[in-house]
Amino acid sequence: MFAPRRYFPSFFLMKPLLFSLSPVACVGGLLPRRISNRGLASAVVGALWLVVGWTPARGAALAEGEIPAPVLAALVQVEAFVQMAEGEEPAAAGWSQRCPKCGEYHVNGLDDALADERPAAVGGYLVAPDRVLAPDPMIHPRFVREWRVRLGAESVTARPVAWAADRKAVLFALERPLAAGRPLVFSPQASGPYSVLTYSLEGDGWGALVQPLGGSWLTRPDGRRFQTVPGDSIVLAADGSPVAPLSSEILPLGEAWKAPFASWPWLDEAAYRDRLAAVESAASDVILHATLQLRPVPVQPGEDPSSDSDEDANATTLHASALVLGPGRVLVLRGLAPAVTARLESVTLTRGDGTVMPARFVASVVEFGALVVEPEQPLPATVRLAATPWREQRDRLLFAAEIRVKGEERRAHYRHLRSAATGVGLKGRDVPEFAGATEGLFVFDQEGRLVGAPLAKRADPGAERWASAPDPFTVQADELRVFADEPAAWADARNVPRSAADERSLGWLGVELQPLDRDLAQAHGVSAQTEEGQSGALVTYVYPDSPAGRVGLVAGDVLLRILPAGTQRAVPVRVEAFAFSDQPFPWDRYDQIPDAYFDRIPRPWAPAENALGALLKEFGFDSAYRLDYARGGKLSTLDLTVERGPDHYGSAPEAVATAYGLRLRELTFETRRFYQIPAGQPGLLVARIEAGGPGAVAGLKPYEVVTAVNDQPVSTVAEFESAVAVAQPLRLGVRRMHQTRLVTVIPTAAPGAP
Amino acid sequence: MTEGMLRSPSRAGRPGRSHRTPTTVPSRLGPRRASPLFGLAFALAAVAAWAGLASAFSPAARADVPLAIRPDDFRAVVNRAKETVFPAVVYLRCVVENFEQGRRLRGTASGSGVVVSADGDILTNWHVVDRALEVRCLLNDGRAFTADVIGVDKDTDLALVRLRLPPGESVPFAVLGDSARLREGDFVMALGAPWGLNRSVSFGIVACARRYLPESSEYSSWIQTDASISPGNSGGPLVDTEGRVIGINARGSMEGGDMGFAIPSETVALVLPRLRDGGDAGWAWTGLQMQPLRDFQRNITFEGDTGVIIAGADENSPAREAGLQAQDRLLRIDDHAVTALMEEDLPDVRRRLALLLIGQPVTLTVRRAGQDLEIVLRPRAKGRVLGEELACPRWDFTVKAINQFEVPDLHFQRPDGVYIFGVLSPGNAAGSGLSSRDILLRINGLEVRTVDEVRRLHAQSVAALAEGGSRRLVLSVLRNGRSVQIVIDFTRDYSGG
Repeated sequence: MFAPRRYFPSFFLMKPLLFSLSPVACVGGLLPRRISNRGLASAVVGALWLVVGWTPARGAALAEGEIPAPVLAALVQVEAFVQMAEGEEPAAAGWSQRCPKCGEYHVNGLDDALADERPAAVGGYLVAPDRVLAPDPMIHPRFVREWRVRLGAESVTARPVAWAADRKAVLFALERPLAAGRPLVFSPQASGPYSVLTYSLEGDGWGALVQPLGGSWLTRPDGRRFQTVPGDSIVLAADGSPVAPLSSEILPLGEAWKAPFASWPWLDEAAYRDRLAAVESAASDVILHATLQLRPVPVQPGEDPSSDSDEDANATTLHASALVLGPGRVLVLRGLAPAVTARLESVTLTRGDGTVMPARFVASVVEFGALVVEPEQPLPATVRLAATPWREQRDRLLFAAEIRVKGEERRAHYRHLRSAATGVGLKGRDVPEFAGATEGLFVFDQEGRLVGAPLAKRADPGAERWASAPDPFTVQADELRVFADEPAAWADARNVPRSAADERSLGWLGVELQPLDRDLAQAHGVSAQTEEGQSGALVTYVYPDSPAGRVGLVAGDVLLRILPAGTQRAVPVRVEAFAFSDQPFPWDRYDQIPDAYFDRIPRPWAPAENALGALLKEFGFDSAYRLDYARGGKLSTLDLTVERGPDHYGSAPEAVATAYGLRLRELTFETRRFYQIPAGQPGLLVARIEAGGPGAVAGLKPYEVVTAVNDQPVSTVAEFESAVAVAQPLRLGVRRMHQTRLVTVIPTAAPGAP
Repeated sequence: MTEGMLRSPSRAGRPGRSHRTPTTVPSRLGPRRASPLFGLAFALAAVAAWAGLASAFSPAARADVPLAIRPDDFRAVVNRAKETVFPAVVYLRCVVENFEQGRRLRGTASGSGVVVSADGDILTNWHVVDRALEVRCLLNDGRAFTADVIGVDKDTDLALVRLRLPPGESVPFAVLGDSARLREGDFVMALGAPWGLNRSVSFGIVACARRYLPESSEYSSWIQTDASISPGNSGGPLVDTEGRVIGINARGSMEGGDMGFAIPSETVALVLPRLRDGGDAGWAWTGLQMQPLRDFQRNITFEGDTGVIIAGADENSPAREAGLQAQDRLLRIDDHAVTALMEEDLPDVRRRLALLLIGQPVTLTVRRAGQDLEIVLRPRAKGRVLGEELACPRWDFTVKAINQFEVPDLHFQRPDGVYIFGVLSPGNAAGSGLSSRDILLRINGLEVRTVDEVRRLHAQSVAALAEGGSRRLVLSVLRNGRSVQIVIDFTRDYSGG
């Protein structure tokens, strides 16, 4: 593990090899106490590549890594005494380093520093009696109680006073010079061969690592060539005199790196504050607070309403940040599942000055978890979008508005940050790598133009409800321009608000399903396909003239997986048990149930709304999908299209007879099957009986069937209403499974009166 | 009180020592004002044959009793009546089978009875001797005999058993009175063996001479009395002050004070010869569902004050086939006018229909939409009212044939079939998630509709298991109208083979 710390920035080589290793598993030499076996293995593999990629330097530079004493007296530790802020643990983008072994970022122990009641530290270089050049820690001031610079036993208070505009360096000013400190004097003329010195916490203590400069080069496809070097270091000449600091891990060929650091573009404190204020002002104009109002999830009698308001699936109000892309286009940065968007009723936008404006839904974005709305009146300020490619933003000083929306509350922090590298993201797009969370991270350049916004991939259909939502990543601002155009190119036609009636429609295959278990999976020879019955569903009935019936699915087939067209990830078929899947409905003791329990009697039949129907609906009606199923242990595949299901109990028209304390629903395919009432025969299903109401007094019970009203056969709400108009009180023909009877329901004097 | 007391009579025959009787369990779910009474019964009727039947009995024990009693000597009145019937009261102990727990269990049950003929015919309740393998009787004089079950009728809860008397031996017997003459307030006594305590007498009045118990008054009303009736009284006589049997005690109430219910002697007189001759009551079946004209329970009053309302007709029944419809008002059965003004009138009408000659056409006059129609109907035999039972060890459940009258809701789902009656717990079926009242559709892919088919497949399965064959049994059951597959895996054998 304690190999010399050779940075090997060529992550083109390393990343594919070690991509799968988690940051925690591979901590390099930074945090020895977290070393795991996996980390060790990765270190070995990483070291192998280092050997391949590393060529010994020509000739001797510094004998045996001998460092001149004056240089040693310039190596200091920049210490951050961190603290929590508003309950948040300190986080710092720059306090993390890309691990040379696994290619991922390792947060350099800010949380450990906090726990251990010690400062976090990075190596710095004294460049003037009261100035230290250090890698940019990119930590928000609210997390730093105090900066100190230490040399040996002595330490003094410091503060950052200048930020390099195009490389990750920062200058600290010391309260007073360090007594033992000797500032570096850079001599660009000093001759090579050169060595690179890096001062850092190395394994079991601070140390200065010296290695030859050069020896590995990177060539881009466009022919540009770079030397790869350790960043945050200084170059020493053959005689040991300092030549120049290095702050980047890739150096263009040539000697441009010898330029004095004072000639780098810097932002002083005033300039820094100006830029940050400009970004804050721009952000408050163009990053609005969107409030989404959703229709409540309908709850059927006999169903337990979920009390979990944390779930989008049950929420009635959602909040998000929204980015003003044009006077009439606002991008709401929140992914909604189609079932949630279906309930969307209204959107309002709140500006920084507190003005509230209604907005109209335009479309959901097909690729990202976001939707576009149009404000009722044009908005005055529009975000300015930068067009600079990410690769050119590397190491540059950028500014971030970190806007976290939690419920109605919005918390914003402004700071600077830099991207140390560019990775490959969704569909091959370049994604800047910012250490730390990218949630709510809006990135602006030094000119106040937006360069990146936090967007997440839209959730895949069928993603488990309890699975975490896709993490947001920073999407280049240039890509957002498209959302100001016509929606056709980017809209998700499936993911739209729907009417309450339409919301209840089902994706329809036309089968009744039973969840598998281990025994059933074995009996049907599908243990391997279903993780021993943890997924998969047994077909127990196929409705005639349904999609399943037409393609020849039969009872006994086992549905395994569904692959929606246009996606790569097949979704295992799963169905849930229902209230009476384990026990018979108590028809034999039905008269003993008191009125007060009526609303709590679950439906005796298997609800038509099951996970499969919801999944198909999420794919979208008329969309194509592929179904894997097994018959007699043999796998087959069907290509199908999602069809809209016929009315079911949950969507059936309902007659509300308040004066009679009863609600009736039209019979639907699954209830007709359950009650054995063929299509064409009359009947309305008792959906609800008010306890103590006229219907209850007449002895009506939930889930009985009313076949006639005032001697008229009834099948529809309209027939019921016209039959009700004939006479009061109502004479009802009632059927409970096999038994029939006639009852009179006398209305309460005033409808709705107790 | 023990848990055993809180059983309805149809469940009284639990394994172990139990007293079969008159317990009625009010629903624990139900509101208190709901009727706390469930069970079976039968009603009165002006049965012409009564006088003739009564003359067939000669009251043997009665000669020993002094006849001259002063009417105001109430103690003497009671005592004489008791002494008249006591010699004929029998304490029954039965060895019974029970399949309810998912296996064949044997236990004993006790009840009461009354001898009604010198050669040893004993009246008792159906629920006392139901599934009895052996019936042992203790007479008041200390003699004990075994008895054979001659006939049972579940609908009226009556049974006739006959003592195996040695040649030449005879027993004292009681005579039936006429329950039609009972009025509320008449003094009555219940004789029998409450909680197995034989030679017990309790005393009360007729609380209601014609009690209708919903779901339990198919062909007969009940005599309600406040004479104490406890488990073990079942099958014992309810006696008037003349020492005549005017009812057979059949049920009681665990709540609501002193309420006992007896099958009226009129019903007994009607059913007894049928049990003696045919082994059952031989009811006819039309499948008519009826409501009274003034149906207070259902809030409905129909026009007219004669006839009875047809509420509907059972699937595949003579009534359905004959075209009777809901809302028809039935006025006459052949030439006999029928009326059910209130629900307590219904048992009479139902009994009249049940006594029709099987297979013989009968003309029903109904009023439909103001017109009188004559509809000819041929009643069919009601047949069995209980399904055949079978225990399936190793599978660890019992099955029962679906009977239309016993489990109408299951019959609605599958008219011919077999359902799981009891599930042994712990056991293989219980461990696999099978539940009582699951209807068996297929066993290892083979359809089953009869108990015999289940018996054959069970025998094959058990034999195959013994030979180390397939350890897996795949059952398809119908549960809530929905087919469900369940696998019994004998490798994790709950019953231990």
